[in-house]
Amino acid sequence: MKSSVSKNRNLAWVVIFLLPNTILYFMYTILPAILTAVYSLLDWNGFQSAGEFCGIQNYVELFNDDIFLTSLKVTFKFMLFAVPVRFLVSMLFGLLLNSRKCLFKSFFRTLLFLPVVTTGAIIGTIMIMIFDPSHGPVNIVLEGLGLIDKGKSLLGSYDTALYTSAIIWIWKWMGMSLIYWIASLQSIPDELYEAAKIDGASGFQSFMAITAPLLKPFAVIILLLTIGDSLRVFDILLTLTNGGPFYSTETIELFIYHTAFTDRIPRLGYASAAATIFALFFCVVAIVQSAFKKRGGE
Amino acid sequence: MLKKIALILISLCVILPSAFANGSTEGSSDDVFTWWDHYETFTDIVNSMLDEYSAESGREVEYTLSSPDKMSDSLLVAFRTDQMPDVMSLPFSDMTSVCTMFAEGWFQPLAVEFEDLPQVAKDAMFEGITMYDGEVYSVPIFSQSHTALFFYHPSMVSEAPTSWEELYNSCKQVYEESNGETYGLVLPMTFTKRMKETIEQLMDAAGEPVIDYSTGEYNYDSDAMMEFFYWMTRMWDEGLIHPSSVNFNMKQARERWAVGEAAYLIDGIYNVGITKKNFDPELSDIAVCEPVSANGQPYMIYKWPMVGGYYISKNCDNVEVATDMILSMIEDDIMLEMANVQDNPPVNTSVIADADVHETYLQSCDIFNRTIGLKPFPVAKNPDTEKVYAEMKTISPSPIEILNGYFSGAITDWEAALHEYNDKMIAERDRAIEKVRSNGYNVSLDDWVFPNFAYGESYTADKYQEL
Repeated sequence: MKSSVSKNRNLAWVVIFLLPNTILYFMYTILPAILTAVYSLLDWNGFQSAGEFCGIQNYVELFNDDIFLTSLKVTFKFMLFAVPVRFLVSMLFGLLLNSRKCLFKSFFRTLLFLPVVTTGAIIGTIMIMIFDPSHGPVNIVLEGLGLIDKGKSLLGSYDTALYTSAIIWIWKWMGMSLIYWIASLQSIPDELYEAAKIDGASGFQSFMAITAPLLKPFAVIILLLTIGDSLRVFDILLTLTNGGPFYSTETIELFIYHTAFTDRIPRLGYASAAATIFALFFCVVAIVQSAFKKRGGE
Repeated sequence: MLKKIALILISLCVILPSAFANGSTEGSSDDVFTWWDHYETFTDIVNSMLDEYSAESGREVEYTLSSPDKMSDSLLVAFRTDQMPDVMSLPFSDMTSVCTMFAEGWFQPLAVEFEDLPQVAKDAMFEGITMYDGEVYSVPIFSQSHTALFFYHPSMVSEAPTSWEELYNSCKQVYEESNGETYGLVLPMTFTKRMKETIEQLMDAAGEPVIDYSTGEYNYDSDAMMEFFYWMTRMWDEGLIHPSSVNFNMKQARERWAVGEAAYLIDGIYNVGITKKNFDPELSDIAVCEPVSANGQPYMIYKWPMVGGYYISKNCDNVEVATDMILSMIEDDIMLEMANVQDNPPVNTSVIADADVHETYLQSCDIFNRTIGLKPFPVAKNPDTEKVYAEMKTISPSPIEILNGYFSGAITDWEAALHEYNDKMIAERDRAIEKVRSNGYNVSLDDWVFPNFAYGESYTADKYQEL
């Protein structure tokens, strides 16, 4: 009897403590996701208060929409370029800034982390000036080095806009990956390196025999987190290029935004269908991520 | 145990948010009178009016100024979530959007009869735009204007151009004389809605509107459009257009023009007020000329009747106060203040004579007076065509996107792209007409045909009676 009362009391406490977070998660994550899937089945002009059921028509139209298909391609191109670069460069910085020989570690870590806490929209606005083809410092330097002709618009060219934007995104989020790498590196016991040193191992040998194998599970997680980040790129691209020139930087997130808000007639149902497809893809990434986590745990 | 916890949490998650939702107030709060605006130059005028009301009534007021793009987003979200402000300006440039919004119940009528309005307002009002079923839903606060004015710096340009070729030569001269430091023209290419409007107005000025009103067909691949593309692409290839134009919105393009990075900017009349406020208080280096696409010939730019300045939302709980405020915007002293800030010309243009405005502003007003006419409005001919506009999907790439594609290197054959766009527009409207007809509405291509339209004449209300 006593044990049952105590059990019920524990249950009440568990519920009370979990409730605030669960309600917020339900209201701001689960419910919008469910509603988005429902809206995706509606033909809903943004000026209307409610849509009309149209079945899977939005999905059929999406897969025949050149701009949506382009945005899929752009999203993957961005991911394929930005993720490996951010992953590798941040790892190199992590190794450097974790090394005992490195001076002013805190200063450099702060310096690399600063862009992370700066608003993406502000970075976008400033970078337009920095990459300005007429008077921007990047062009002046590249011209000075003889690498480009006068007035090369790196953000305004169909061939270079996506990669230039990706470099800016990598620079902005480098600090975040750096934190992951440094935390991972600091989890490796110093004794292992000391033992390797006693055995006469070189720096490279220590890296290959100790650092790399022990970092592997962390690296998988960092890679998957970076992939997730790259799929959510929005604010920087919105301010830098607004998806242009000629859709060359129109990622799925921008496509959803433009369709839902800025088109002549906003299309809420259609944008929701695009968002649902995107969410499904994200689910696949999350499943892969948890599978790797599990394997790492074992 | 875990199952029990999960069950309780799920039940509470469903019950609690809906309890909160039921308890929330609909629309604007009773305690705060809210006003959303995108007319930057009216900030002081509106704020002093709101402060006065607040002091008299003791009610809290909230004024929010946003850029047109941001305000469009906010209004769409506010409508869907029933949180619209009491009074709002409309940043949607597309006339058909306003018709759809009315049909969907965004607004409520002003507490005023049409007969009681000042004559200047009455003259500018149209059924289906500012009036519905005889009720007044808004009053125009501006007179007609367009965004195809060519502003330039007289310090760089000695003689205003009257044709594309003269513009090209002038831009070339500016570029060469400055050793490539100053460009001829800067364009806000990412502000596609505005650029679309401007291109269509340039086609009007060239005598080939984008709709052929004798057949109702689209005309986006007209000779005038080809000429526009020819000169724009030529100027781009020769480096005469600011290379960042591809990434500029209106604000950025205007800033670069104002600081002298380019000689020409195509903009609306408010460029005078904004330049004075933000860059050049003396307006020492600004002049304006007529759209060059007219080739120096008499021309006309066609606009749909003016939408209202401000509308009262369906959520407003004090229509009388909102009506008073909106109507005070068309009083002569406020109109004079509006003219003084050199934004769009006020609906009562007679006050401009008493206003402290720059010569360029007066010249622009004169251009509008001489060259703006009303364009045929299919919705005025057949209200059901609003359903067709709402059904029509955006076709891409549009002319401005094609130009942007050429500038960025994505498109080389712009001529083929323009033909394709025109064909797709025709097909999309046909599809939309069919869909709307299948829903029981009586619409057809004939609704876009206006046989009594004559280029050079305004399509006034009486012309609809002749059809």
